[in-house]
Amino acid sequence: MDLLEVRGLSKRYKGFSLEDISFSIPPGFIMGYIGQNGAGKTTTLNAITHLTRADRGEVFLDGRSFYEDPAGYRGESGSVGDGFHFPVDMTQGDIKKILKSFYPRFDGQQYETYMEKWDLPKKMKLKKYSRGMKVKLMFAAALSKDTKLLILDEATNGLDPVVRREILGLLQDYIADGRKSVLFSTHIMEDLQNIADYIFFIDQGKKILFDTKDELVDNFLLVKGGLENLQPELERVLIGIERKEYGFLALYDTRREGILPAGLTVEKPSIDEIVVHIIDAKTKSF
Amino acid sequence: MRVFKYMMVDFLKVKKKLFIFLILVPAFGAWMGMGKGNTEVSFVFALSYCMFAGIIMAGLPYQYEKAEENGFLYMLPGKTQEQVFGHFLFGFACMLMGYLLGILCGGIGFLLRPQESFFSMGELSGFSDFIHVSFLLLGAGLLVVTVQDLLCTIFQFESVQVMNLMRILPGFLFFFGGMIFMEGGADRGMEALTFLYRHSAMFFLACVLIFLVVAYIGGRIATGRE
Repeated sequence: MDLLEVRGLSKRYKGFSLEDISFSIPPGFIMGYIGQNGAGKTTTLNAITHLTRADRGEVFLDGRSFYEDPAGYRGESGSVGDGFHFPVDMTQGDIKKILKSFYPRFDGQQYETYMEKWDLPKKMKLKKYSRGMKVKLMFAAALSKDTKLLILDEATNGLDPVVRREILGLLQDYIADGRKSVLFSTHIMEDLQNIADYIFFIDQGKKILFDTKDELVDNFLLVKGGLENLQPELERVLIGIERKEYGFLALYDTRREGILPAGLTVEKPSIDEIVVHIIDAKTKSF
Repeated sequence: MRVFKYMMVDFLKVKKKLFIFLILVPAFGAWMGMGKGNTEVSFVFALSYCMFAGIIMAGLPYQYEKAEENGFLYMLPGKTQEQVFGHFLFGFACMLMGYLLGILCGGIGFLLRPQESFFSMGELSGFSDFIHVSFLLLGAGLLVVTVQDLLCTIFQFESVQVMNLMRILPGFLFFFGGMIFMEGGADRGMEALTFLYRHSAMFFLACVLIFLVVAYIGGRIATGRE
């Protein structure tokens, strides 16, 4: 059974609508949820955590919907967002007290270890914490709660590269037992390149791609060549053509029929390159 | 029970203000208890002032529930109904603290500046009548907190100005409305007061029942938004 199942999630706002989003994450895996700013990533995650009520669709966490057991549903997921969601007049000690009382399996020792490791002051009010300190505190709280699903919404924004790499390592440790999963929304593709197992690409509220990272990368090629190679027949099959002085750069879907002409250079694209070229192609098609 | 845990969260949210409440409010309350003007009701003024402060305290957690912080509260493993009831319980606790502080302050004020009569209002006078009146105040304070919490629950995600009004207006109506009533003297509203006085125990129980019912309704309203 999948740990997280999202079926037909839809939500309408003025000027934006999330349409029919469906995906699932098996236990023991990390899914990257990617898209531009305003694509619908946060709307999706808020609907999953029930901070927002979806207009249509269902979400099941470990086989349970929110309405069957709100307390249990909330207890099984931890969340770290771009914003800071702890009351700012509290201290990290207050946060520990609250989490300890609400979560029977909360690991206070682990929490203290993170506090010491990341040098987070005990008695300082949270409103005086820097951006980096706030993110570390949220991660410490989320990772100490023994939840099954970790939901990260642009959580690594504002972290220095050393801490970001450390956090990505902790995420891999989190799923190591094969029972937990991570849903990681970000527009920093580099983070996902290293750790994601699945990629869901959303744009303007709609699903563009959903596949394993390896399949996704295998399904596309990054094609380079001189401008003289860019014939109309070739242009029709390329995605998001970037014309430069020295030549062109584009994406090619290997599932298409046909063979690329000779004289071109091909290489495996990064997730970032796949996303950029697809978005570029959509923009130009308007 | 999770309801009490949510109440604890509210106490932690406002702990700095709670400190001010426990130090500054009693000081001013004792000063009021020393008597000014109509000295025979100064004990009641001190009591209602402290309860007014308690009612204002009761609304503070809603002030801190800004959109970002909702993530923390709404992610805690509990039902929204329990969260709302925890707010109501916190309000009740603050009002009760205000009541007990008021009794203490009024007593200190009276001892510092003894007046001829401990309490006198129309036909009512003396310690025994004061206890009845204070229970009426306790019931009225409970009703005010109940209404305040319900309004805050309903308007929780409205603008800051609307929320501030919901948090402050009931307390001000309680205190200043009560002062106008007291200053009015024996004639104004004495019939109603006498009736309530004769049924003070039932009045208080009715207020507790209303509190419980409205807390339940508030929880259903909040749950309905999910």
